[in-house]
Amino acid sequence: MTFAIETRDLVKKFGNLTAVNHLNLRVRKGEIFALLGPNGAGKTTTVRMIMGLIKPTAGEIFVDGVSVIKYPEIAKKKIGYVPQFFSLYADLTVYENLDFYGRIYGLSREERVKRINELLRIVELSAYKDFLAGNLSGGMKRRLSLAAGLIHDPPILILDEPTAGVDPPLRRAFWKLFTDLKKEGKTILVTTHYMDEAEKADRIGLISRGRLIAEGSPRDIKRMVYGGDVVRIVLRSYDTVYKRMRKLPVLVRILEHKAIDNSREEIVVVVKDFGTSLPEITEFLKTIGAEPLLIEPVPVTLEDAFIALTTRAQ
Amino acid sequence: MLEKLVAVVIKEFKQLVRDKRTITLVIALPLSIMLLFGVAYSGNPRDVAIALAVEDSSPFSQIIINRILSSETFDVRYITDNLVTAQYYVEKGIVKASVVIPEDFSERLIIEGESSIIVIIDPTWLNIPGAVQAEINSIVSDAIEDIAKEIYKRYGILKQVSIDVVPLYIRGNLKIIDIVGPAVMGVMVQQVPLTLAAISIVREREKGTLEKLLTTPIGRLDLILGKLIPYAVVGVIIGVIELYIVTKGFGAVNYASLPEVIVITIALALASLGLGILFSILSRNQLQAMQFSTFFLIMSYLFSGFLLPAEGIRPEIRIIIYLMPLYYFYEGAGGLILRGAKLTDVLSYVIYLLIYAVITLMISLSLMSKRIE
Repeated sequence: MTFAIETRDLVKKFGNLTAVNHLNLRVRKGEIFALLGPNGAGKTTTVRMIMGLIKPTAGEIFVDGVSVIKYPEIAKKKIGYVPQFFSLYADLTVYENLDFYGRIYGLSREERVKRINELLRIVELSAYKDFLAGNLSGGMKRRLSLAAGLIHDPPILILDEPTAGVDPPLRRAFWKLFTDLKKEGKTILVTTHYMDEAEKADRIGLISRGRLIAEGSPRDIKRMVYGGDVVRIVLRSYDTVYKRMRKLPVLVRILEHKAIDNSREEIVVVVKDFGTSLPEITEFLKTIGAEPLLIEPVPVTLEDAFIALTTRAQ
Repeated sequence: MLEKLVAVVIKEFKQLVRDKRTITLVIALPLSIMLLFGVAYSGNPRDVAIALAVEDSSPFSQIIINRILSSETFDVRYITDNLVTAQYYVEKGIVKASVVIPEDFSERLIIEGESSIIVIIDPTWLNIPGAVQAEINSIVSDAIEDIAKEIYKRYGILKQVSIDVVPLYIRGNLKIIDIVGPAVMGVMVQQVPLTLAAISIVREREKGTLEKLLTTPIGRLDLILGKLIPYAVVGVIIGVIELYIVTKGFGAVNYASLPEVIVITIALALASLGLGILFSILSRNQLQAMQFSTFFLIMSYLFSGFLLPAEGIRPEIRIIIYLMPLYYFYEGAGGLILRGAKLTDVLSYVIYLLIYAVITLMISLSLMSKRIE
């Protein structure tokens, strides 16, 4: 299978500092992949290496199977890039900026007019097309950058921290747009340090200190922390039940056991998969004669997972 | 109050010395320019290219000829037997002056006791005409005694002789505005595009627009040439306007036609732009680019042959003059505008400028990375 973006043992050193450390990233075609990590984790460095802007110390990068290091010009055309900081011309208008990039990508006059107007509509900047880009608000600049990244209708879109410092409504609008673009068949790689928005991605790569510490769907990542789903069971108090719980077939381990009051106790367990094992749990509880008052999954936030995984990695 | 002032002073000093390139530009460059200036300007003119026209080949002429040939000031490139050819060499800019010993030189000397030699001078240069005349005057006054002795030896006549040095300016003597006009024009045509080019790439780097641009299929050549063409147009327009202000407005001499001026101006603008782009690639920020540009202005003012011609600069460091695009322009444009030379006469300078542009562009292309590190 050819990945949209694949890095193999990617390393970048700046002097003594290893910014990216043997990173193996695999972004599948047609998915929204969030590269999640705190500031300074190596997200921007990774993206810049993929874009051919900085040279890797070691390792390989493939974009749609094309080596970025060997054939940068071919690889670059497949990607629309939206840098972290505004990188369009402040002294050109919104339309002129897009027209400039349209020409660079070799779009004909008719194609440019059509494409620019379409993009302006998508990012809701049609009314501002004759404004100087430098006079736009922060949010509008972000939208214009996104439009510029899409000008040549690339199959892959890479956005470096597109939502950093952006207000919640615009963040939501951006993610809506990513979903729309995904429906068109585009692959989206987005870096972020917002855990909540990463949950909206199809898959997440957790990056910390230049290393990929976990990769998978948001659910997979959370399960990775405990090795399964966390379930809270509240029972009528019976001394014997807690010990018998160890025989639960789908059990991974028992996390916690405590009495809530005289008549009730709480057991927090990890099971392989809550979705499929709920009937088994109730059945089991019945066989051991327990009386469940409540069986509920315990939500694990990505933040919990992230902190647990980064501490474990150290 | 004072604390705040001190805070700013300390901050500025730190920023000034933080980057090695800035230190180099702020301290080393002015020092080296001063050193070069001292070495270059401390000598007397040497090896001024001249032609000799010997219409009268008498032993008396020979005395003067020998002294001219052994003078360090002159480099005699051609010896001819007539004034017309000697004048032609000067008009074509092949030599800076011609010394003519006229047909009646010895006849008048023997009969009248006084005679004259003619110096045909190219007045295009600020310091050369004076230096040439001074040296010829000194040669003649040194030779008078020997000539008197020779006359006595051959004819037995003992008499005072005197020899006049008659200057003959091709196209008449020039006013200061005539001579400085093409130089000012050259400085503008060089400096305006050079500064624009010097800032161009480093500005995109500083503003962050280069990051986006470098991820597109744009090539380095597209980027550089695309930036140069508008600046070249601006440079040429400025140059032509300047020339017409000086000539039409203030009555300076201009023998050149508009197409000729445009051709050599384009050549200079291109060479300057090549250099400007190179400065832009060598700079980390716009401040450094501006410093490169400013120092180059000082350098080209001192070493382009305008203030002090190549012959006036010590041979050891004369090479520096060949690194200045303005040198080739001044040689070429001076000929076109002041001597009435044709474009074909100065074509070599146009070609040198174009070669200069190509070389600087090639160096720029090889140094320019398609990365942002």
